[in-house]
Amino acid sequence: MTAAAAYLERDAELMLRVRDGDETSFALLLERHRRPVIHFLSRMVQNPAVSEELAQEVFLRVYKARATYEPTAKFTTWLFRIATHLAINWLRDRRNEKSEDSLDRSAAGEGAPIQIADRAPTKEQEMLYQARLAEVRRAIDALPAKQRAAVLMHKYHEMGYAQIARTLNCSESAVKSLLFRAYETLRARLVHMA
Amino acid sequence: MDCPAHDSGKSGIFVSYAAGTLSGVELEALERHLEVCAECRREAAAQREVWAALDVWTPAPVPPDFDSRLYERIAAEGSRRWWHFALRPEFSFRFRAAAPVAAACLTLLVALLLRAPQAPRPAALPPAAAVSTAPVKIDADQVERSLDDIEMLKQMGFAADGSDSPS
Ligand SMILES: [Zn+2]
Repeated sequence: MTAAAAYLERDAELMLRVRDGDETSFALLLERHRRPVIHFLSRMVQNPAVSEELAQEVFLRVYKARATYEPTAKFTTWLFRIATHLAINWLRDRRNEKSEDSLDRSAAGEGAPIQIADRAPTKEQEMLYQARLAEVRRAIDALPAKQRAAVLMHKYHEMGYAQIARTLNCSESAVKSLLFRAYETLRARLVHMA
Repeated sequence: MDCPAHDSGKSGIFVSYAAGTLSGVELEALERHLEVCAECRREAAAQREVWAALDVWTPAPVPPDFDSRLYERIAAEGSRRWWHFALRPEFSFRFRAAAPVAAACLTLLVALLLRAPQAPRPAALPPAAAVSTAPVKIDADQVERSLDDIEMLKQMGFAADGSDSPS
């Protein structure tokens, strides 16, 4: 068995133990998956408070659904399906009352600390970096929700077409088309900045 | 290989190329083609630029109190499970309406059972309230769990087509 397959089986095994009432296994699942779920949601909704709230909801739903869990496929697919569903719902509900503030409110700690050789970045480098980050965030935010989810899973969570398709409940060819359109849009907005 | 820039069915190949997920054979074929096709070289370079541009966005750290807040919510869910159900507007009406009927039926059943082998004294009957609430509580717990599950499955689209399971 490959290391990846063993990792996946471990998730299912842990979830089955949670189903049987083992709370420690839930803590282990949380340890393994909270980071990617929070990262995904923070990029989906671009609002730290909301993404944390939605991530809590994801794990709460996992916990509440433990009694009926069956390891039919990847645990992460299930997890991202719940996360995507919650994020898309939130984005849809917010659409009518959308304002610019959530985008301009930069999330604390987001963006890698820039490092150039051993020197601290100059003020100019730091400003350029912040400008690029803001541009990326705006470009992602401008994507339709489903395209956005597909790009985030593909780019930042290294998911293949098949897993994204299962997560979004659509065909692989639909995912390819979603990704193609999304990257075309991103390209139009971002390629000048590299 | 045919020029992917002029084949709409293959346009996604540059996405896979930038992501580094092309298989060995596909990669080799594309790289051979890139040597002779300037248009595809531009496409590939642009896609790689997009890919690199997105690297700038590293995510925020996980909030330190994330787990403790989650466990608080789980504990709160557990403690409100029973009475929360009774207070649910969509069920409280039907449930409250059905409760007296259920209580009456159970009392009658108990009375009949106790009566069958030998006629009991009326004082031997347990208080009606004590008899009727215990089984109702168990049902309510199970019903609410199922309702929660159905609600989530419905929201996730499983219940709509019924063809999928959590994956
Ligand atoms: Zn070409």
